[in-house]
Amino acid sequence: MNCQEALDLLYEFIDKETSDIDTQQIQAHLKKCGDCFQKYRLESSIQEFIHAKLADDKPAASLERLKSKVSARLDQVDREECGPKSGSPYRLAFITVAAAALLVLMIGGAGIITDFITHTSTYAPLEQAHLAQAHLAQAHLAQVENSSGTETEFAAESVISLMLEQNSYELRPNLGEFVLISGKTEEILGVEMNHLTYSSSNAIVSVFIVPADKFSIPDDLLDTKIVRGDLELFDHNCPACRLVFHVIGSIVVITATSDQSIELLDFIPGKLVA
Amino acid sequence: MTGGTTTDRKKRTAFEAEALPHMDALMRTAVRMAKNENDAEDIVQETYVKAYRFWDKFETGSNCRAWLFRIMTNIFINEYRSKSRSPVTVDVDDLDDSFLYGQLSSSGREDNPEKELLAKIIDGDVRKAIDELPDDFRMVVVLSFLEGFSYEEIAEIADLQLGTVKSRLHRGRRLLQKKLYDYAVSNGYIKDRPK
Repeated sequence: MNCQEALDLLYEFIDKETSDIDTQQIQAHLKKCGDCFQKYRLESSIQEFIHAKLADDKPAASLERLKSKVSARLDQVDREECGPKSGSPYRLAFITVAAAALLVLMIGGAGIITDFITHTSTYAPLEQAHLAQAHLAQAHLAQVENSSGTETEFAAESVISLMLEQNSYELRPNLGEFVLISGKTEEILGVEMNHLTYSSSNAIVSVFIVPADKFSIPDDLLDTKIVRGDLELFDHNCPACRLVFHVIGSIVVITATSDQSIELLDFIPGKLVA
Repeated sequence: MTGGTTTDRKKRTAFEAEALPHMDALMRTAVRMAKNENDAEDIVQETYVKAYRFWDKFETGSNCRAWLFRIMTNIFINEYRSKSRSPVTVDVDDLDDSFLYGQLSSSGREDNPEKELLAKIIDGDVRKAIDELPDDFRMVVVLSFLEGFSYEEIAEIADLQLGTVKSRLHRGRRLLQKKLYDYAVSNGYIKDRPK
């Protein structure tokens, strides 16, 4: 192999794309030709250099944040797929349901339609808020485990005292295997809600707390009412996410989880104190 | 209601296990392709949504990383590539292959002339040089230099002929070297040696 032939294949050689025979011949040529060897060394060190500089590049935006954004988007896809089955996206389902509306109304029960409308207008935003938080919490837990740190607390303590002060509602920091790990306020359904996160080793339960005068129990749940002492429970059970609404004192407490193995009716995050 | 919950969850778990670990790589390539982090984040999100929707089309055991890059490159080409496509009449052809070598070795004092230059070039210069490459060149250069994809994988990912990949990489390299050299001269890292 002469210099020209070797140089013609130089980039492919550096990229490890040359055939075995070519590779051997180029290697042999580089051994005996100092000039070509210099060129080879220059090219390959530039290559390595650029790779190293670029590979070092850590995007400033935190990858964790991007991960929870992606997870929330995947949840959306999941929900579209588990929504009303007549067609996967809600829009299509809506058309189908709307078309059936007249017929159903004539028969006399508008239940299907209201179910559907309540699902998208009331339940979905709560589910979404829960799922977004659940992903963040999982990411955070993973981090905490890795760093063997103890920084599980965000504002859990302060939320406990706030709820006690404002609503005489005493939150339980531990509930069976669940621990209250974080709290924040968030606007959902146009109302400012306190959004708390309880976590066990493998599941997340969100708890939303909202003043009763700002939130009314969806009509379609009134049938599901269960009374336990000073507590009224309303149950919404959908495959994507389970929601239980508690009316107690002057607040509504909403618990949410996507883990169907948790009996959410028994998940009572707090009690009224005198 | 929907019998599919368990299957859906299985699908999600499998997808997350296979696809999510590639997010770092997708993101750093997206930043170089789109040249800004906001667009890059959007591109990565779109990539995952699309991949998830088409997950049943992905063959288990095949190269998930290349598959994700293919989806991403497609999104970039269709939705983000500069509308005013830069004319591909890039004047690289007047540069001979060993332009940089010629420039550096004519200084004559160093046995290892690239060392001096590379030691002075900073990260920002490299990023700037890459960002200034025309979209079509930048794509293949990033896929090769940064992600180490083979020519064949790049051809598959960017939907190009193998020969096109080779020639774009070749020309992309020469352009990059020229740019890095120009920065080095204009920043006073080295003195220009007229040919």
